[in-house]
Amino acid sequence: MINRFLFLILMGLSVFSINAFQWPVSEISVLASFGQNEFGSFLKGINLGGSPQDVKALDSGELVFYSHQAESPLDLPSGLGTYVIYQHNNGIRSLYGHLQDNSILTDKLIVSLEDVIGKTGNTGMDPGSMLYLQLIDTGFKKYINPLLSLPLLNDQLKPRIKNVYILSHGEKIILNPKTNIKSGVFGLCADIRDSGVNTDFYNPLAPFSISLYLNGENLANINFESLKVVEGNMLLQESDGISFEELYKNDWEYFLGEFEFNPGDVMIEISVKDFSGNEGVKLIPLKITD
Amino acid sequence: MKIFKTIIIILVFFTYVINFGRPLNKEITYSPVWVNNLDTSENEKSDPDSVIYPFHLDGTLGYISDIGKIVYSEDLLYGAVIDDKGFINYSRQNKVLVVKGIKGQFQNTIDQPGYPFFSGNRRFVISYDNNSVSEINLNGDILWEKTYGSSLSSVSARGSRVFTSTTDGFIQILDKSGESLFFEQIKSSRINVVYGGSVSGDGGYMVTITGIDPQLISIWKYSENNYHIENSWSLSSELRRHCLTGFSIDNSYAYIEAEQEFFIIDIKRMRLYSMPFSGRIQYINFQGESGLVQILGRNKDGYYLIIMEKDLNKLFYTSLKANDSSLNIYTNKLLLGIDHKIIAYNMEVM
Repeated sequence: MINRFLFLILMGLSVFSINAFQWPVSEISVLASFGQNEFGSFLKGINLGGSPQDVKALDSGELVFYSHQAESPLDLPSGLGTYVIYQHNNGIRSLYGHLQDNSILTDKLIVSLEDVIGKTGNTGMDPGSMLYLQLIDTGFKKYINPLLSLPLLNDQLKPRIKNVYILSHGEKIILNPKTNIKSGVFGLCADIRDSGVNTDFYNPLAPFSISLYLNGENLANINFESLKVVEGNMLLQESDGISFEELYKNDWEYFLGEFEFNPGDVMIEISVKDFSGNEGVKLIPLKITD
Repeated sequence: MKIFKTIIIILVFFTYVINFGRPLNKEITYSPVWVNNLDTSENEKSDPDSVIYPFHLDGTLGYISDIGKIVYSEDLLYGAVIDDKGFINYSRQNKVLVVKGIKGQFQNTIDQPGYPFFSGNRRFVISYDNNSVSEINLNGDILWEKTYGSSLSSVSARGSRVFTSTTDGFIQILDKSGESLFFEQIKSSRINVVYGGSVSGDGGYMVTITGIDPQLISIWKYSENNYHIENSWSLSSELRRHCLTGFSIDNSYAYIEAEQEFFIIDIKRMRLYSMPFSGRIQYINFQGESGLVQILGRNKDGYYLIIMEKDLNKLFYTSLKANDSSLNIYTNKLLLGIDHKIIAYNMEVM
């Protein structure tokens, strides 16, 4: 409980440091989360679902760029479909993708919180009605998790740690208290799924943070706060610069690092939090033999 | 007296012709050669030596021969790119793109999620989220990939160089192997953004349209291993979407499609010509010093065809009654698509 309280305070501070924006849609259901594996790369925003609805800008701002889907065969093809980009204060830009064609507000260059800037649609690569929301800090040149700057979601469901396994000579060994492991250096992975928010179907999401403890010592932290391009590679910035290829072993399988397992008793603890501070924990006591 | 009067008239006439004579405007003739109705045509075997043209019209794509016979056609899935070597007909979401040849035969696969984009006889894949571009060779291998910190606003290739730009104001020029020759954020405006740009076929110049307050069209010159702004023109800052830019085939002119205007820049004289323009360019052919500017455009009223001289003197304009239209120009042949018909014209300029 105290942990959750502290987490919410920290989240509040993060929100304060950027801006407290408004949700762009009234009916909120999160279909895909920031940093999630989407077609072999990090998702750089969030997908919001629901029935077709009006979209408002996160904050007052200025129209910087818009693109209608398929206006000319000479245009770049775009998986974002019809999209708009607004510039807000402090160098923050917001992008709204998959909007209905011909729904976007292009003749008003400065918009307020009340202006409808478009309607959720199915343009681009996603066939269902949705809104792709992306936030960019142009000062620090990074993609920010939009949930950091939006009002907190009412989400009571804990993220779930399905399996924890080690990689030994290319073999996947699922860990449980009875697993017999010989000492050595192994890659440690976890299958983690957060529950979709306000969806009436099973829709897993990436969590907000993953922490790994071995015998109480914190050895790895992965936070889905921001992404930045460093020397041509997209990296999770608050996690020692992890690339997609380093982090994802599969759609929901996260590589937590390579660790030395010495003979004796080892307690593996994995703690996973979602954006509302819900925490899922998995403890696996292991006996490592020579 | 009569002879004297005649001599005076002849002298005045020759003086006028010599001193004030003007060349006649160019005359273009388009002679229809054949028409093909895609609805009723079937694929036919073609002479292996015959010239073949790609087409993409009214939900169908394929190749048509010089005498108007369909060599291959198939229905459009979601989107398609096609050139004279092959095509990719793709669905809305793909983990793998399938490349086919001019007779529809399987050529290879591209193991890169995203949408394909052909430019300057080169093949690219743009990631679904628009923040990375990779070049693919004819075997389907990924030659290089570039990832950016915001959405791409344009990618174009000419000669050995590739131009990329982003919505947060970055411009990059890449060489054939994907090595960066130039990478800079344009910070000359209140808001940093690039709406479009291109590099000339010889790599000597670059044209860009950038920023808000001011919004600038700029010509950059390549010298001392870098691009430097040679000249800029200010716009009214009303453009907020991608705009098409390019160079004439002989690299002597640049063109820019802006919000309500079309511009041509004479590179040698650094002179800007403009004309009112509505809608978006669907196809443009601009030879340069020796040729005409031929544009298929589309606005809210439909498709239209404009033929102009390089100083934007309009020679021909017609609106086309069509739900879909396409235009392709090959030396002296013009292929105009109107709904499900392709019409070939022989073109002669006198």
